[in-house]
Amino acid sequence: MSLVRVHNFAISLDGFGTGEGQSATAHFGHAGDRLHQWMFATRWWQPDGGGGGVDDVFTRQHDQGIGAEIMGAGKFGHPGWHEDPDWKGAWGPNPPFHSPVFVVTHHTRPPIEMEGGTTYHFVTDGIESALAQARAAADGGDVSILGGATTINQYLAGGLVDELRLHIVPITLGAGARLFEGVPPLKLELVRSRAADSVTHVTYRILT
Amino acid sequence: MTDHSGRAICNITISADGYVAGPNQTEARPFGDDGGDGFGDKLHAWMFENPEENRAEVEELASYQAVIMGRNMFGPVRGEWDRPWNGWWGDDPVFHAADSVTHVSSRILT
Repeated sequence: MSLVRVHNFAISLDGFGTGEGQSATAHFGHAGDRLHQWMFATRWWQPDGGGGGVDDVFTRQHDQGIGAEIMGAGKFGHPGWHEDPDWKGAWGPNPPFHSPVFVVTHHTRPPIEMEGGTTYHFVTDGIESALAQARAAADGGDVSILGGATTINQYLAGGLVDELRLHIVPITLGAGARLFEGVPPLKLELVRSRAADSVTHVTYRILT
Repeated sequence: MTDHSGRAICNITISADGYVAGPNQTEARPFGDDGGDGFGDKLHAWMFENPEENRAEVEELASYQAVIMGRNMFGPVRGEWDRPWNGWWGDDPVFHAADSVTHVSSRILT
């Protein structure tokens, strides 16, 4: 049975997945790149260079077992992206997902095929529809909920997530989109944790 | 032995979503709606149910020479002190700051 996994989501210690003040030039608002610096140095992100080690291991696992991915509209683009017909997402011409990505949004749009195997599909009838379509596209593989925090919280509140893999960065942001906001109490089991120099990786199973 | 060197350390248990206690704290449930018995049993199970696995961390909790706590941790009395209250921890509190003091708001206890 395929799993629904929040796979590789970075948060500040105070639980924010992004800062406040998001715009076209500041995708993570006042957080800048502080939530993701640990990842950018890895070989996975920079095939021609970059470092290795613990961080690399986790980001390589990104590509294992995932058949399709889901993201919220706020992760796809800045507020108002739907007014730009040429907007093709915040993740560049060759997004790192390499699989079908279902964008949960109010704004309908035909699918956009990108380089490298990522195709964005736009789902306007809610998170359960997006999950059903992602499951079908995953063809037996797991479905990854990419983020942001608002979308993850909807899936958590709906009892739809099996596994939660977080990268906890040693900063606090004080404001932004907070993971677990509005989510009723959960019982978790810590499956794995690993402390690296600049980030702590934790994987929880969500118990029903 | 731990060398404290005058540092201020916060050593505290939190839920994955960052809470130290649940909402709706009362005298009967000092940790409020904490998913357990209202006395933080689930939050602190790591300490009481798995002390050997966490020996170093448990010993560190008792190693401080002075402890500061807010009055809402100290007890259920809010506002004016309207009755005697000497903490939740009995006559021999686990903090073992025996040769110094645990300060609570405007009262001092030894």
